[in-house]
Amino acid sequence: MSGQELPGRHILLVEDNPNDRILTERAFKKSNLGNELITVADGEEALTYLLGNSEVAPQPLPILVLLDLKLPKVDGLEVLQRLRSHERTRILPVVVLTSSIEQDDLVRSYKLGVNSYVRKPVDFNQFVEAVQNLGLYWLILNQSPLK
Amino acid sequence: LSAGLLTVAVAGNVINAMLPSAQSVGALGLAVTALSAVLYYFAFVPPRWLRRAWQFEELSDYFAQTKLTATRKPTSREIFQQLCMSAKQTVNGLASAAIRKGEGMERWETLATTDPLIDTTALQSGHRLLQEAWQKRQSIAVYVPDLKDGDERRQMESVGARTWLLVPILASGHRWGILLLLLRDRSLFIEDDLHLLELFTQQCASVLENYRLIAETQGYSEQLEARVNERTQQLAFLANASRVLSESLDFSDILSRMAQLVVPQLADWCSVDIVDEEGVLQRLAVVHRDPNKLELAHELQEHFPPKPYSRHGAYNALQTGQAIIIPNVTPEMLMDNVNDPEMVDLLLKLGCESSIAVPLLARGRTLGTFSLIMGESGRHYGESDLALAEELGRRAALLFDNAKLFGETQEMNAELEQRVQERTAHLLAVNKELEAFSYSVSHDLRAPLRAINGFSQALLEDCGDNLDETGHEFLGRIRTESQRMGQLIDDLIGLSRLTRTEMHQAEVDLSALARDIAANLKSQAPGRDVYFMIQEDIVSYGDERLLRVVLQNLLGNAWKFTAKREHAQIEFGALFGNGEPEPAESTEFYVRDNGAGFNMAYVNKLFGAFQRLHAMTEYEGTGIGLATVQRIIHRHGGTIRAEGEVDKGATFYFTLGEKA
Repeated sequence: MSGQELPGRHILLVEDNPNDRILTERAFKKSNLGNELITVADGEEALTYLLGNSEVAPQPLPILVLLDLKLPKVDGLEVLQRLRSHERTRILPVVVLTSSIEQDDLVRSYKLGVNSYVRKPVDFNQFVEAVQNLGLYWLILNQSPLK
Repeated sequence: LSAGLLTVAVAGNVINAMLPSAQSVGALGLAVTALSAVLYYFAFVPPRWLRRAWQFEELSDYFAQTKLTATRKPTSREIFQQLCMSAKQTVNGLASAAIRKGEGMERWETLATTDPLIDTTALQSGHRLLQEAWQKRQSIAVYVPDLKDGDERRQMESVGARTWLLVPILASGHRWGILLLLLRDRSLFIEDDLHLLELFTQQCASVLENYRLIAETQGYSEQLEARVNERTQQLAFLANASRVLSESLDFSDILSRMAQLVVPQLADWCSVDIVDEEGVLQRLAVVHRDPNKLELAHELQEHFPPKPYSRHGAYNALQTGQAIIIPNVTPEMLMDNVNDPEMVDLLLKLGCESSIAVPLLARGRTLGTFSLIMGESGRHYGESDLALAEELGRRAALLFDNAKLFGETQEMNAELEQRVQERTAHLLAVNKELEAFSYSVSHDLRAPLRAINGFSQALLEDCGDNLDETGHEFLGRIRTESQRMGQLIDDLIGLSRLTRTEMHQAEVDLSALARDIAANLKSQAPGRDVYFMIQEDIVSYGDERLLRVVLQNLLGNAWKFTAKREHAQIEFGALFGNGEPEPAESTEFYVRDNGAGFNMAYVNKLFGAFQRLHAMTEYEGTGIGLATVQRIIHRHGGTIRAEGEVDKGATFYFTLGEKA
């Protein structure tokens, strides 16, 4: 998260729960994805990272954003809305990774232009499987104009 | 003619008697007698006939003059004057007068006269004769020198007329007066004249009588017209009152309007009182015609309500339920009824000459009273005013009552609406709270579970070598239970969402749903021998998504609890009423199996959330399925019941209520 130069193939994880951060990192490791995982802890940090602000210049774009919905300061849906309204991040792949299966969250996420909506399973093995699938799809199968 | 011949015969006899020597003269005497008779006859009779002819002409002139005219009604003085003039002229009299003696009067009253000659002296001197003619209703002719009473004779002679003719003016037994005619001297034709004068007075009397009758008739018709006018005005007033009063739905406004309406037409001022819950009259309005007295009226309204249970007119009307009229109010009466000198003073200042108090009756109850009072205008109430006031009271009371009912209904409606709104707001708040709660449950409760599950897995992977078999097993249990808890949370959220999501009702083919679910179950465990008997064409009305959940749970349960049967049998069907071809409100659908069944003693626990009748190790599940089913059935307005026997099987019956 420092100003060090990052390769354009990293993944940005927006997650406030440290346990979930650790488990997500672990799942990534276990699924043998080579992409670096960069984590920010709230919506505001995510926006600063991706879009910058008056003081800080934006960081290089990641290949994928994994976005939790329930976040401190600026919540996930608002982050999504801001990303979609900004030229730099308009077509950036964003996957919602959340505990919620509320219909409302699902519908609003898709309306705001999310690319995928994944519910975090309680079982860690299932979570690893989900992360593997995500990686396979978004980092390998999917053809992105950003590549 | 006979009178004439008689005169000749008499004259002859007189001449005979006057000539003692007639016997000697003999024929000459007879001749003289005859000659004188003839001369006398010719000298006397023709003038009489001429006179009579002339007199009758006068009479007919008089008749013509007194003919009834539609254009102008002459006054009675004019009629009497005409009579006097014509009579005097016809008999060549000295003077003539029409006189009358009124009821209980001593003196004679002159109605008309031709000559001042007939003054009080004349009337007094002839008093006895006039009295006689008046009382006996007879004509009298008097030659004054013939009178025996010297005083009377002298008195009457002093008037200067030697012959007095007195003729009563009579019609239908009514004495209009006496025609008095004075002649200078003895009249040769006194009988004729008297007769003629009677004709004159008869005509005069009948003219007077006719005019009297006409006047009387006119009087009647005027009275009638006045009554009709009055009644018309009253009806117009009432119609207007009904209209004005019905424009308002506010009951105190109605009565204030009524008070405004009656002043000044029906009253100089008016007060309206309504009965409160304790039966005490509360003054609602006082209205006065005189703007200068409004302050006094206001004072009466504010500070002098009718004293409870006094003899105040308003209380009288309230207690008797009858309208009360006092045509003439006296200060003593006021003092007696009101019993408050200050109030009496105020009432007298407002003016209190005549009053009516009317109860306002509706549906057998007296709602209030209103009082009409006449003061400075000096008018006094009569029966017709009372009737009008009573009618006004009835109408106002009816409208007042209606308005009151309307007001009460509106109040009640408003209150109900208020309560509904409060309830709704409360429910919405509760619902919102529930939503927030379940959101946070689904979101926040799962995060620790994921940590528990994930880190026990990490422990197993990273430090598995340091753990013995028991350690591995315990970690395994931790992981399983955390998963189970995740499932429980999801089911619970699902159940609570069922009561909150909107229903989309339509026709649902339950048979098709059941077949679909059965096929799905079979595909999950192809090795099992389960025979599904699904009745064809069971179509009902409801929310397809929710009904699918119902059948999934019921068929799924049947599938689960028949797991130990070698030949499992699961049935879905409907129990139609007598010959009914399609499901009705009361139609029971059922799902039957030949599985583990249950003990009917615990049937009440079947539908509670997290209630299980079987050990977890025996049959898996969170115990939320039947609670979910019951909630969906209830949302459809239906009922659900279960029958079962241990190791024989179970049947679940449900209805789906009315088509919403």
